[in-house]
Amino acid sequence: MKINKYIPCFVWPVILICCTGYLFLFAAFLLERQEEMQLFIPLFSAFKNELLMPGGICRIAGKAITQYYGNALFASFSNALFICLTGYFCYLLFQRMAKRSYHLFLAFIPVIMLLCVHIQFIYLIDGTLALTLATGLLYLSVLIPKRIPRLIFNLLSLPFCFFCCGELVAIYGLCLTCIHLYLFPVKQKEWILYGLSGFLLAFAGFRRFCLLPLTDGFKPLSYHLSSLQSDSFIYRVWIYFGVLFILLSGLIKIMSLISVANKKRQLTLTAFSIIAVAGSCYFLKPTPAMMLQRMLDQMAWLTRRERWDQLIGMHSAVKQLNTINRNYLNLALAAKGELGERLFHFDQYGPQGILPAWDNTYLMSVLLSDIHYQTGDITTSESYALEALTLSRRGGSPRMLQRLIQINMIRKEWHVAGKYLAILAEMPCYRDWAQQYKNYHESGIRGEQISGFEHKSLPHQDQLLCMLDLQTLWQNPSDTDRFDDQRFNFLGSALLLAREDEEFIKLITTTDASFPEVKWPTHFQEAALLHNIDKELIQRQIDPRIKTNFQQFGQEVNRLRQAGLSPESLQTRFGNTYWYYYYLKGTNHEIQNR
Amino acid sequence: MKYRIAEFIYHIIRNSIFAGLLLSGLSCSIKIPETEQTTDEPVLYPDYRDVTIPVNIAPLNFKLVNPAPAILQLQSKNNTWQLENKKGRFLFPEKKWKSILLSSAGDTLKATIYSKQPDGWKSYPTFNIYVSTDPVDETLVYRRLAPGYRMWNEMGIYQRSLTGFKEQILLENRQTNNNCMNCHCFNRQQPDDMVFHQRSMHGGTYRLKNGKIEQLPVNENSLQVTSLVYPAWHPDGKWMAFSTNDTKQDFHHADPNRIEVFDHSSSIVLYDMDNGTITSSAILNDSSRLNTYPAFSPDGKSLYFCSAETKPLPDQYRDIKYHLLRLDFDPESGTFASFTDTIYQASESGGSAKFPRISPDGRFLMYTLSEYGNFSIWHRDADLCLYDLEKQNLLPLDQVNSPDTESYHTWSSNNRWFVFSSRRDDGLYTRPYLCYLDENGRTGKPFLLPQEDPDYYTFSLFSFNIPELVKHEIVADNYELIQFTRNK
Repeated sequence: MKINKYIPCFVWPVILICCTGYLFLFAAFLLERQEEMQLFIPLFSAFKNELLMPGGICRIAGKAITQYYGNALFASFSNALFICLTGYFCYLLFQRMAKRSYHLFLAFIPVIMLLCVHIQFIYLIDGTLALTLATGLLYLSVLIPKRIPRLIFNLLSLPFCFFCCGELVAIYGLCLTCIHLYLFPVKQKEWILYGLSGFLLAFAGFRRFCLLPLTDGFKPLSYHLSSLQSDSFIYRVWIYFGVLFILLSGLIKIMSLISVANKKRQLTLTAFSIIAVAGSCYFLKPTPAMMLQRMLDQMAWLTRRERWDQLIGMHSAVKQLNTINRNYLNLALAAKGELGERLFHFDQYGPQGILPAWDNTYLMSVLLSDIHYQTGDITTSESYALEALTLSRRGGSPRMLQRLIQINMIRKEWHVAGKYLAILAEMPCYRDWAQQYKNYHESGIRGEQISGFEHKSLPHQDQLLCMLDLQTLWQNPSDTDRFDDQRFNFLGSALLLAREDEEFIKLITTTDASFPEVKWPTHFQEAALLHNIDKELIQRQIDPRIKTNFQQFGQEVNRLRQAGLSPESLQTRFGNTYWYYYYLKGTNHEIQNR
Repeated sequence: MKYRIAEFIYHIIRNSIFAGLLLSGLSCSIKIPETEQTTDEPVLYPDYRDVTIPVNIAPLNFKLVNPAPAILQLQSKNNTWQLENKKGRFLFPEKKWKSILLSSAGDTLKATIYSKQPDGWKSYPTFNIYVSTDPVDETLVYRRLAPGYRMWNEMGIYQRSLTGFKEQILLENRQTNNNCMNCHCFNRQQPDDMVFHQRSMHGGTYRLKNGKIEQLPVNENSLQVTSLVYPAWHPDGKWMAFSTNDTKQDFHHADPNRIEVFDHSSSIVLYDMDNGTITSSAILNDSSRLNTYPAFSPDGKSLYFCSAETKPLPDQYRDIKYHLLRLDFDPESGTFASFTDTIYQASESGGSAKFPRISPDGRFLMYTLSEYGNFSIWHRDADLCLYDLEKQNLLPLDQVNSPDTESYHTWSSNNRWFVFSSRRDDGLYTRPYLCYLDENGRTGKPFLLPQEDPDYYTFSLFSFNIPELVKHEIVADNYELIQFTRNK
């Protein structure tokens, strides 16, 4: 059966567009996170050593592409392009075995497999670049009709593949052997040489060049997911791809033996191929875990761009939030100066919604650095920024370098800030930012006030952090004559969430004593009413509408109690008040005790 | 975006061409243009002005901080060389550099920089490079890692040739589940016998002897210790002293020093390399004191160590001050004396001493001094001190110390050089500096370990940790090393 030669020319661009769309939908935020987790300085002297290592070319090419992932469309397209190229080379190889139209469907299976791994955080484009190169080399090999030139090409392609793709050479050698066996007479014994050379080169890779052995790809998924680097997971994908390619080639070889002169048979084979592809497509269906991860990546993306309204909007219709959602949401509210105003408009549960526990991950380190930076706790923010810099996947994180530049300029550590600026100035996507901060840097060195940093400085009194509680930490403004709205809101909200009544009253009364002109935010007023503070303060600080509301709340609670109804029906009217949170949210045990 | 990708490609091409041009080498025939003399000092990075260097050191490649077309003229007694560069980056061809040093050994190289400025060529004041006839040990071993606080990621122990730029991996954690590795230590600068620790996965103390690796066994009848930490070889190789430290760290809220590392308890133990037995003495294993940083004297008859009274921690962390003590040791029986000599009295002098290191000839004792505590790398006031054990007096190290941290140091086998860690460059990243010391204890100006690319340190986000000089390259099979540690 002859395939119309124009069909693939139409189909593959369509596939490319579909893949780009799929990745844009499900991986755009994830790909951006990959960008912020690598530090690629595009100077030959900076990457020379890595480039000259086996596999270095694909790694450097991968990094070079990843640095532009800030553009989601480019990120999705570049990933889709290499996936489709790999699939296209597979298709061309299948067509060399027999010219059948259903090969077009079977060639989608590797594409689907690669799409599935590209939406996983641990995977990097380097792996697919290497696969594209290897399948391209395989195709070039089968294009050579004469035996000796083909032998020479294959023997040269093996070290070339090793140099560019590293340990993939073992799988390349194996695929070369299989393709040779399927396409050429078995009596041409050079196929032994290909497989053997591939394995020998891969062995030399970890024996001589200290590469991670390819066998690490066989380790369980949990091992790869907990690993700080992606190499072993990329190996796993290569192994899966190699096995899939060999099985598909074998299947195609067998199918090619079936004559397609009969139209019925032809249809059966095509139907079989379509079913196989459709079955594979099942794996593209986003799982709940994937969707959760996507949301997490999206929140990180919005936080990085300071799109606070969008971040808040994302949560406005959500009834139940998990802790990480609350963390991002509360950070956005704080950044907008609305924490004390709108905190309880959203589902809250305990102080960990304001300040989460560190879980040794890059993402949490970044979030904690952001939270502490917002509160003005520069030291802790720096500590988490350095953790994130360490935990980033490939040599550093430009995003965290930006944060560290800001912090070091606040600390007046001009040298180290200058060092980080010099690095960012070499990175095309950060050059403009670096130039702007270079001007600030120069102003700072001259002793001038840097705009944007007016309210940020180190506290006057030092203490070890383990000796400070949160109140002291966030209540310790650098300049006691200046009211720090961010800290006041953060600390007050954390105390409200923790239901630490006494500490909260202490905070608002001492703040009022020092800064009587400061008007308390709504939730603070609600809490003050609840805890029955000084009458003069109530008179001065509490809005009459809140007082009325509180009275109505009390009446409603009593009415429902007398009627034996569940007070949770108050949610519609009072669900966005502190009183509702205080009395009705939390464990049953807690509620019964109130 | 299109522009940025094109710019990236341009970057690669430009740098490749540029690197090629730089390799064109030194010449004796570059015509110096007509220049105007300026009194301004040239700003170089690394700053190699007026440094003393060993005759076998790698080329001191450097750049002008303000890039401009420039010519460098090096002048010895009998010869003159010139090097030209359009950006003021001076990279010396290795062979030529070696011949320059050999022909200038024991002499001074006079370096003059001519730089093209907007208003014409300027000639900067000549500076000297003193070439000592004393060679430095050929290899420097260090751990390289990012200066994180709680976590680590990529790190490794590397050996770097000091006569060239070749750096080799001794052990990298890429192959060992990104675990932590530290405290590599050599016996009398001999590369064929070293110990190092690995933490978390594959944890343990390992010995690499003549290319063979083993995990140090611990005899069941030994004193029980949780882990061995700071090591010190006895010169005859039969003993090693280790400290055992229960270390904690915390962050400063508002201090130029970012973190504080302190020991809740620490003691010193003696490890018998033959049978794996761990012992100690009443003085070294005294729970009322914090004993750490052991170092044997080159004759093997004394153990130097740091000792402080325990205090309630973390409240009184600033009151922990370490004395520097000496305790006699009998290498035959492996026993310690029952009294100590005080070399540095913290209570009188007000500082806190750590990292005692005795020169191989036994003449000088170098240690680090800071206001308090024992983890000097995070103390900006930490400085090196030199004590003449023969004349029993302190010698000045003004030329060596900087306003920032100077900490870990080790000696060259010929006593004439030492390497130390310093954060003087930027206040955060630790870099290795080499320094000359003559037989009377006078030092030269230290210089930063040269790199092939003068921008290396600018773009590196790694610290160089525990620099140890060894006589020559360590011969070890990385694969065996990795496999052995992976399987533990």
